[in-house]
Amino acid sequence: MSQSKYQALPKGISEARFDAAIKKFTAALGADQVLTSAEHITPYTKVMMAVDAARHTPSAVVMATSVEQVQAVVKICNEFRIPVWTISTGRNFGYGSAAPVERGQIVLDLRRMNKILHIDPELCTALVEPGVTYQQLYDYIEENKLPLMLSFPAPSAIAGPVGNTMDRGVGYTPYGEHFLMQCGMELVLANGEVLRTGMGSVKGDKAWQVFKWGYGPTLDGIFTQSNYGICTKMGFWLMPKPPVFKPFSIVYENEADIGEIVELLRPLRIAQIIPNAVVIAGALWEAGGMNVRRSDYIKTPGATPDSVVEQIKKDKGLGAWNVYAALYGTQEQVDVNWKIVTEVVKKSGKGKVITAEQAANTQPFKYRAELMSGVPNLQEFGLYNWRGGGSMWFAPVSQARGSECGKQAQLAKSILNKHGLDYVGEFIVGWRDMHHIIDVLFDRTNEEETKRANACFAELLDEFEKQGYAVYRVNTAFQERVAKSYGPVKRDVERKIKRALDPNGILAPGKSGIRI
Amino acid sequence: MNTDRRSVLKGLAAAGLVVAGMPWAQAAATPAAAPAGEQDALPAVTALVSGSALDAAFLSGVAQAVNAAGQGAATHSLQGLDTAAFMRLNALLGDGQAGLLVGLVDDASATLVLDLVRSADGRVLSVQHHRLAQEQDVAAAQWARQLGSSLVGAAAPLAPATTAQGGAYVSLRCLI
Repeated sequence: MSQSKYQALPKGISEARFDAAIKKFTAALGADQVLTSAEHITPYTKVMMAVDAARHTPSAVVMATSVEQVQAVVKICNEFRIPVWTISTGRNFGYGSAAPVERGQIVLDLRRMNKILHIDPELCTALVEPGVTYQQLYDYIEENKLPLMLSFPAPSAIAGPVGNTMDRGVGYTPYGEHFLMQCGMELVLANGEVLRTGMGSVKGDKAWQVFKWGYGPTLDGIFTQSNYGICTKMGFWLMPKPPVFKPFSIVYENEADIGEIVELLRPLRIAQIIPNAVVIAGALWEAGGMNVRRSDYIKTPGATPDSVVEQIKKDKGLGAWNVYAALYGTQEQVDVNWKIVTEVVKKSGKGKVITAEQAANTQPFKYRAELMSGVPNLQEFGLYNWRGGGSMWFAPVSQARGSECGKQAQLAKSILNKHGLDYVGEFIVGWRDMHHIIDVLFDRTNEEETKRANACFAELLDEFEKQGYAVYRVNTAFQERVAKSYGPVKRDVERKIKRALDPNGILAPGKSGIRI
Repeated sequence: MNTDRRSVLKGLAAAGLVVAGMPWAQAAATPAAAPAGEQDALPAVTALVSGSALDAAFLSGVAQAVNAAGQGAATHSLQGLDTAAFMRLNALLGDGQAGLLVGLVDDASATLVLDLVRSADGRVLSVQHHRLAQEQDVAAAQWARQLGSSLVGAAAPLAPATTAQGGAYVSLRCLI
């Protein structure tokens, strides 16, 4: 490494040239919005991935408080060819946290753009800036007694809707497919122009947050998981708060039950009998959510033996698979659907149904029920205590078919165990798909285990690809690798769009493997 | 109340620490009178713990160093990943007052704390990962006490504890 006064430098940029760029950023934003010291940069470095922190160290952090300031940042980046990695709240923990995809990129932190611009309780829509957190929205809705409900991912309290939706994250309510519920974006393009998608570009329009498509090509999708623009406002739909909410769990004893579980749930989910994004969580995922540490049960390294997992299940009252779902609506609607669900489960001859009354405020039911009803919490962070803070989320997609899910679970477990790690996984049931989320957990203080985790992640990608599976989202260390899974034609189209919109390649080069 | 909590309480009582965010304890202390001129030497100190066997020892080390500087400290417990406790910490970090945050916490809590520090425009002065095999040992308690003192006093940092397969901890020192 060089002896530069900066923690890192953008690729191909001399210290003197970077000095000049920093001077311009400071003039445009103010000194308190331009950070370069190690003490300020440290919390913007990688947190959990099994790679050297130096690979993802930013050169500087700049903060914008307005669209005009974002435009000023983009202008300076173009002038000096400085690559810029944008974050909203920076809480994308399992997929790279706040750190840039490549060493030396500056981080544009938009957390100070945190205004809730509009919530319409009649049309059930919201328009927010990137720094708004789910907790902020939740507090606003509660304080104003609005009859609305949020949908968010597990790090709910501190994450935000713009970052999560732009990364195509999911939640646990009937509105759990967040990009599906997005309606209207404002973006600063690489040339500084401001684009509003959908109806947002029409002068005098009032339908920006209610009609997604606008006229001509619908553009919103190309700005998600990409580097074609910087989102400065986003609209999305909120679910009306139902008069009755009935969460429940179904506990299954055997790992081999996964196929039958999926076959049982799919028709209920597609027909909207169960309207929310159902979770089928493995035993160790649930143990992590209860803040159980592996070292509480076993001190020897390697994969946790099935006998130990069985003991944890017994001690904590967990199944091999634990289904969490909920019914929403009027009492009459919930009663009818509850009858259908319980009869289907009874007829299957497997699975123990547990209601909120039976669970009696115990974990993990409590936090799961909160997530399904739009109440934020931080409980799932307990996963990071399982082995020691290292985490990478492997998230292959599958059809919502029992045979496919069983095959994926077995394949993942065998690869993880081969590398001395554990299968800590859950399936999130979309309408017709499964997001299979596996947390590759490792001890980040153990160099050898960290290397193993990295090799394990690479093998998971390789072996799943051989079976026709790919992930829907990945941490920054593996974005280039995953882009290859989707083939050369898609990459070529993405590159052409990138060259057209960002000819200098300043916006997050390397994100999702996209460059000029 | 479990043994850990009782020992933490004893430690806190002995140290005269102010307790915030602990539903199971209410305590208050008046900072010791500081010699003239020393008040500015150390910003207000908040100590973070997350419900481990080493909490009491760590807090007593913090108290020792803080009292030596003629000040008091606040303690903030993040036990059980309680959302309210983190939201209170978030409010504390955002209150506009300068302060020194020192902690010995689990991995999950450390991840959240460091992120809240980032969002409060804080500076991360040090982060270390530790492994301790026998957290109940006298030697481990002594190490935690020394760690607490060194984090407040900015003395030469202790080398990380690295016992294979031990319990995982993260120590941190941040300036708000």
